[in-house]
Amino acid sequence: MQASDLGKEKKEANAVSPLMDIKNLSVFYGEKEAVKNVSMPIEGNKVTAFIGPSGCGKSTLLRTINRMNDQIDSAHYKGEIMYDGVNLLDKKIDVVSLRKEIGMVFQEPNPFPKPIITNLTHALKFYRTKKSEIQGIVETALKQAALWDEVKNRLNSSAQSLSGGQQQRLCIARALALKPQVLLLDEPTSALDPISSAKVEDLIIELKKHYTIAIVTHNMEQAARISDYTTFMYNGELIEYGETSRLFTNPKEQRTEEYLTGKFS
Amino acid sequence: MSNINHSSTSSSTHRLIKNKNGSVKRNELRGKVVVYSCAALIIIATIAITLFLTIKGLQSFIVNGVNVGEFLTGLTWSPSGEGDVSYGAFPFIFGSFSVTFLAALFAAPLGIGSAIFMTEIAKTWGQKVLQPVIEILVGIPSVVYGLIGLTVIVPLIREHSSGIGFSLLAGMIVVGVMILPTVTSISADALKSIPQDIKDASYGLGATRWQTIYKVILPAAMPSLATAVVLGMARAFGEALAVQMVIGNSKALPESITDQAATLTSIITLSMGHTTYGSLHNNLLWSLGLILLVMSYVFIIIIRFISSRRKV
Ligand SMILES: Nc1ncnc2c1ncn2[C@@H]1O[C@H](COP(=O)(O)OP(=O)(O)O)[C@@H](O)[C@H]1O
Ligand SMILES: [Mg+2]
Repeated sequence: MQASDLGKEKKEANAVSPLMDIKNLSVFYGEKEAVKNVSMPIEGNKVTAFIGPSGCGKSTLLRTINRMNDQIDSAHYKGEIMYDGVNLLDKKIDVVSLRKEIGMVFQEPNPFPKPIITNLTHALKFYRTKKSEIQGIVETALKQAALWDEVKNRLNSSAQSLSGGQQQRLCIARALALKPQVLLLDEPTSALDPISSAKVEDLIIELKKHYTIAIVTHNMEQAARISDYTTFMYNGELIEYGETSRLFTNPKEQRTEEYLTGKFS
Repeated sequence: MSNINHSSTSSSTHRLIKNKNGSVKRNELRGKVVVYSCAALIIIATIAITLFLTIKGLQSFIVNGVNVGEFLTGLTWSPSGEGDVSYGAFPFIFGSFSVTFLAALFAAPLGIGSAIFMTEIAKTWGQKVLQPVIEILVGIPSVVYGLIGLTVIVPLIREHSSGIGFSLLAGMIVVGVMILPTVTSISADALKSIPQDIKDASYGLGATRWQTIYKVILPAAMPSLATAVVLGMARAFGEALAVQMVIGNSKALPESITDQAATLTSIITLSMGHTTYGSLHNNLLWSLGLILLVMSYVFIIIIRFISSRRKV
């Protein structure tokens, strides 16, 4: 009786509160405000796309979520990113655990110049994963990234011998090996040819069953194809956020419509 | 309006065919001649020096009948006596190599460490303060290092050992400090050239800064770091003045690191002025020079080998 009550409560709580809640977030590089007072949710087990012209702050926003911007001396921020009851921007957050839980894949495929297998085990070793478990984790991650069949016989050859698309899927596998909750993808297909892009897109749709995905993309068709929610940003501001199907067919803001119809880019 | 310029370009046969006797062609030729002669000059100079040194360096073996094995392994050096002459250069070869390796042993960890500090830990401070300081250190003449060694290091060693201070150890420290800026600045360049991409990849996986440095940055930079150390060693091997000022220049094989020693370069600079051209002693010094030349070729081959592996 009590247990089911609790379960119900939890479900209701999930229904109202998203996995992540960005509140009044501003990000600065020195004086320059690259993200301006953005508030939006990121829903669990959904794909949230960020679109907007180049330089509008999409990458900056994404890199703030897993605190990659801490790497840049001039970067600082205001506001909150609430996740599981904590503010990710809090000084007390352990960025190592944070980045393990919120993985990231970058625009250019950036495998380590090492064997394929080492790319996956690299980070596992930091977390003192048991040797007996590593083999299984590697295989699962490569299968999830739809790369296993292509590389299972050459795990010891250099990651740089892979094609661009394979390298990018390797980078996704590398992030998945840490069993993250959230994946942040920053234009993961922009450096890839159309066939490789399609493979990565299929992969993203597949992955959303198990992961929450935030993806920056330059490509509006791609956002329309794979995302559940879309955020349109312009000049650091969030112009419009909503369900992808609605935002693309019936944008509320004029600037969204202009962007979607190609009036500017 | 529509046929602007078309008249002047009407015959495409003329426009696109190579112009045989234009002034453009003459200028092109002039540039080519200048550049090619510069390149030729350098190549000729290199070949000439190598040939000259080889011929001079082999004279003692061919003309004076010096035994090569004895020259390379013999322990006594007294080539200018009237009666019994001996020409064992091993103590100097040993001295050169030990100064070089000990100096590298000293400079490699310090230099690579400071390069990491400059490029990864304190970037702004490293770039604004450390980088210029190191550039100044590279440019200080070696005699200044020698003087400092003479007034600081030699007395220090004298106080803390049974020796007189002039020693292999003093040579190693002076040369080590001297090549440190070279090693540091080349290492820093190597570390800076590691793409931000793979650093991001590592940080993005939750690696700490040290894990990223050890597991990603250092392995990726290893060939260039090795090149930095070998270049430092090449400089150490050829250094004459500073070493000569602090090493003691004893012609006997040193028994410990605080013993006096000599190197190929220090013996050449010390003795060359007192010998007559064409004498056995003089020819032997040229042979020592030949060893230096061979070693500098060896260093170049090592560096080539390391950098060819980097491309894989
Ligand atoms: N490291 C940085 N230092 C200073 N300014 C930066 C840095 N990175 C990005 N910016 C600036 O912040 C703004 C947003 O950049 P970014 O987030 O990369 O845009 P997007 O990913 O949408 O193309 C741009 O004007 C860019 O010039
Ligand atoms: Mg971007």
